[in-house]
Amino acid sequence: MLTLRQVNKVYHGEKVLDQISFDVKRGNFLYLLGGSGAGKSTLLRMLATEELPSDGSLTVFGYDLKKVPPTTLKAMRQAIGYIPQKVRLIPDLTVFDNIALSLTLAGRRTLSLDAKSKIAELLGQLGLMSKSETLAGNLSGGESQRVAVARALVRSPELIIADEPTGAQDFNEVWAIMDLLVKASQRGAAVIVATHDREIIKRVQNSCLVLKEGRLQTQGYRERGAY
Amino acid sequence: MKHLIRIGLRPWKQAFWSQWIASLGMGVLLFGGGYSYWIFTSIPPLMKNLGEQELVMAYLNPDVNDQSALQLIAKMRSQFGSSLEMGYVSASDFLKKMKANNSSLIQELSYFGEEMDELIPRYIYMNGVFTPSMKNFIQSLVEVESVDSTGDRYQSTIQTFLILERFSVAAVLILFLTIASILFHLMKTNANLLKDSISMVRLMGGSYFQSRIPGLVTGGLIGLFSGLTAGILWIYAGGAFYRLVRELSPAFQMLPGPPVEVSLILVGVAFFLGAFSSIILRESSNA
Repeated sequence: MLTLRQVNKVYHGEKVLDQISFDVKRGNFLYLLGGSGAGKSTLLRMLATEELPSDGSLTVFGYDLKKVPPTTLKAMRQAIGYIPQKVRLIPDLTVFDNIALSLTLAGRRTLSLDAKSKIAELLGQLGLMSKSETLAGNLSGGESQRVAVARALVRSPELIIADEPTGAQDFNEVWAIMDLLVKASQRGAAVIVATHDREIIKRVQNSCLVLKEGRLQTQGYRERGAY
Repeated sequence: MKHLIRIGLRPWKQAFWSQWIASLGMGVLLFGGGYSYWIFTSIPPLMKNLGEQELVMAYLNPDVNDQSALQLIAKMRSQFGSSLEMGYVSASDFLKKMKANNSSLIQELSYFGEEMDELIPRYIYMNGVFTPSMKNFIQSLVEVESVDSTGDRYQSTIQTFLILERFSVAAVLILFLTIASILFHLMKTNANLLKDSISMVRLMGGSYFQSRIPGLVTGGLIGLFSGLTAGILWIYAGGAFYRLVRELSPAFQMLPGPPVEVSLILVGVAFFLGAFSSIILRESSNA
């Protein structure tokens, strides 16, 4: 699903990612760990097709990101659920419409009843049911983050990239989000989560990638465990 | 679609006065640019017309009396139509014209008595655009002794018009650059308001067209309001400016009035510029 080979990323002459190589297969659940400035967000932006590598090869769904034609890129993006660190909700739209937009951009002109009930289900699981008609611009940081999770998951994507998705959450919400991500992985989606939360890693044991100063330090593979 | 349109309306919600005042300013500049362009396109035909204007004087034989001269004018009118300004200057008319500045000369001429008619030139003057055949016809008339013409009598006016033409081109360019500059800065500001949303639209798999919609809405509205301002000014202030321009010189009397349809063209041009500026907005999102 994802293949990185000797990927480098350079910003203004400074190497942010250095010789990154790893593979992600269908159903994999991967943590991306590392200190602040290690390059986690840069790597996730590349995996979400927001940026291109400066060097090396990044293959997503079998397509080299540097050579992919626009129509294929569009289809690839529709199959990726991206939860960026800065969630970038559309402040003029309601919570419901922010999530619905994700579906309409994927080609659904009108929302079916199934789609509406799926949005409602996600909002319920993430404790946002009462906020459905609230403008996204009026949400707290934690609520916005959960809306971003719902926006990414509503299309049942094949690849989920989450950059600190639980950073601004209370205990219960953290596990609600993790539960959704683990379930997505169980149905076959590849999930990559950048986090600082040791408790999550301890309770949801999975494979880990550790980045330090742009280099991949450790690649640990563990069996998925219950929590 | 409605979601994308609502994204495009955000700059108008969050910075209404910036959008409105910039649109108004652009509209006024567009009106100025349109007016300068209209002058630029109207001047060449005027200059051509003035350049072709000739004053032809057909000096009459001494034996042609005043009555015959008037008959000759009627003959010329039937030949040339009403396109030429025509008149007869008799000996007494000539003396009257000379009297104010050359009284001593008039005194000396009066000593000639009845012979004066043979000494003083009597002529038919014709003002307008002449073809060679028209001149040949005049020369062929037996009543005409000689023909004289001046072709460059409006040369100084043409030079003035040439300067005005160049000035109007410069004005069009300056105003266009100012409009482009205002639009560029406004859309850069709007891009900062929208770039996160547009980048997410693209990252969620929005098409090229879908990611353009918010920019088209934002820029299109700016263009539309600018165009409406320019169009309304053209209709209501255009006539007043036209009268002012006509008063600058008698030669401007030939200037055609500003066509009302131009107001629609201004709306169209402004809308196009606004919509086109959405490129800035879309390209500012990195995705």
